Amino acid sequence: MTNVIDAEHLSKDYVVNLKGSSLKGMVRSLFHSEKKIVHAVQDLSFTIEQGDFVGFIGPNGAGKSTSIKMLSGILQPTSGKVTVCGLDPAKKRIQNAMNVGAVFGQKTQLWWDLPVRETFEVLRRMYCIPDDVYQKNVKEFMDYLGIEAFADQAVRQLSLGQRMRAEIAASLLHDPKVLFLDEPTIGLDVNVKVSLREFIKKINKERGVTVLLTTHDMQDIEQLARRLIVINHGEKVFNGSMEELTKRYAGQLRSFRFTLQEDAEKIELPERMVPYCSITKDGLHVTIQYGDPVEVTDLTAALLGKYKLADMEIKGPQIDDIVMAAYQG
Amino acid sequence: MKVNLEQATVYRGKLFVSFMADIVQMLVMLAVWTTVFHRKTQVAGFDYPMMITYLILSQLINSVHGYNNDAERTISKAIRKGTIVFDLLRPVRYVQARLAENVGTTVIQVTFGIIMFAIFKFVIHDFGGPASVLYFLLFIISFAVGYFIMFSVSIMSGLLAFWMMNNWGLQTAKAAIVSFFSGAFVPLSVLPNWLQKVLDVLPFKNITYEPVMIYMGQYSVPLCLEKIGLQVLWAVILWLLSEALFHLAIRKVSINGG
Repeated sequence: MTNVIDAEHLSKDYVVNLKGSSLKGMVRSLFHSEKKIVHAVQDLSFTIEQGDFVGFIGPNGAGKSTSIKMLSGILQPTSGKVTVCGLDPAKKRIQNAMNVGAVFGQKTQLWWDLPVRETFEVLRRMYCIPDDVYQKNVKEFMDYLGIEAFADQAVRQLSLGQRMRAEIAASLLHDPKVLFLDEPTIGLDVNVKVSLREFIKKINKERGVTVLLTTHDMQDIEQLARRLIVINHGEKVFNGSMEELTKRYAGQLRSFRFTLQEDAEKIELPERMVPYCSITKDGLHVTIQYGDPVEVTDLTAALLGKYKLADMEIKGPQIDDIVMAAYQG
Repeated sequence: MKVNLEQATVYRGKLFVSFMADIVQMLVMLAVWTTVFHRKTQVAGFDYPMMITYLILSQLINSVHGYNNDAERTISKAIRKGTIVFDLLRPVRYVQARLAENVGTTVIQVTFGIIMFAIFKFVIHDFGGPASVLYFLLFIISFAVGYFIMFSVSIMSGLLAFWMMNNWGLQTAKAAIVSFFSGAFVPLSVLPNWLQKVLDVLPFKNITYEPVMIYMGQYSVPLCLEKIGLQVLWAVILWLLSEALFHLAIRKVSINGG
């Protein structure tokens, strides 16, 4: 396996002009502005292998989009090195553009006034896509994503769901080796999300397109990503599989909930488990949050003998909670 | 280019209205100069029919060039809204892409211009034709080169949005200065000598003034060729400058909005 993306100590700083909110501040900013340097991305290193599907997550403002823009040659890194398919994206912007496709969920890359079909035509010319490849891709994408139904409408008349399907198709017309998806499912309904996920999965599997996906929808990550990179405040905090993330951050995130037939106040756990559990009592209902090394079997064994339990519920760690824990470090 | 042609036809109403506004401006200027020529028979070597010819042609050229401002607006809008991302994502050279778009709209503008030219020729008696067929061909070349000069100037002013974020004020000032210095409002020869000397070393007069003077047969043929040579030189210099400015700009690009 070869590395398609190789980032070494990547950093990007922005200079932001600060404007005072008072009238005085605004007048002053006319003459000289105070500057602040924002470290959007700091010392970010990672590699991605060909055909991999990587979820790139982090809270708002963590530097995800900035990183993606550096990988697609739009932004030049302040320091550090990055190669995509062996090219430096910022220096070889045009060659790099042939290798990558990108969707930015919050912006549109389609021409507002053109019908979808025409937009594809324009892209065909821009990327000099061979005729047979183009015909095959258009047919496949149109069929799979149901674009045919609105292919002759101007982009400005499309619903968000329709537009996003067109955006993703547009980003793949030229058979890119790498696909960057920056919040592709933002604001979409469940049906569209599901069909987009299936489509992306298929593209990754059948065509071996390497995908880097950022999203705030953890279901996207759960269903698609084979590996996760978590960044926060511009720095990488985690790089590994979902299982490893769970192991590292799940902590006391598993919970065991039950109802007692007697007063819950009396509940006590064996000494050795106490440091790893926290108990919340509410009348007859008890919730115990627990983590390694305590297992659910230990809990039931300890409790079943002593108390009369009705109704039990065991909950695994919720991905949203795990990710939140990871964000908080 | 084709895209823009299509977009332009989507907004043909807008194009038509702005062209009409240019025509009104032209009529006002014709009226002003007609009044001036009630008292004088010559101004700076221009008699009345020459002045009319000059004004109509320079205004038509100016309104064709007006659409060069689209490149500038496109750039600053793309920067402000952050859609510059997609321009940079494409395997297309940025400045060339803007030129292609611009040629698209200009095709429409030139068509309008030719129609207007024909109407004026028919209606206004004093509006003279080209000095000869040869001069007319030289004019076409000179006009085309002037177009590239104007385009590069617009590109550069648009790219300044990378530093200023909102360069509307600059654009407005630029439009006024370029229109005046290019000779769209008055023949540059009526201006005071010192100002003419300044304008000689600036590129702007190559945009409108020189093509019109060639059309009117004010220069000998060798001089025409010399003027066109100078225009080409300016076009190349400004094109290289705008490419350089673009590379400088993307090095410091920051993207608005996520």
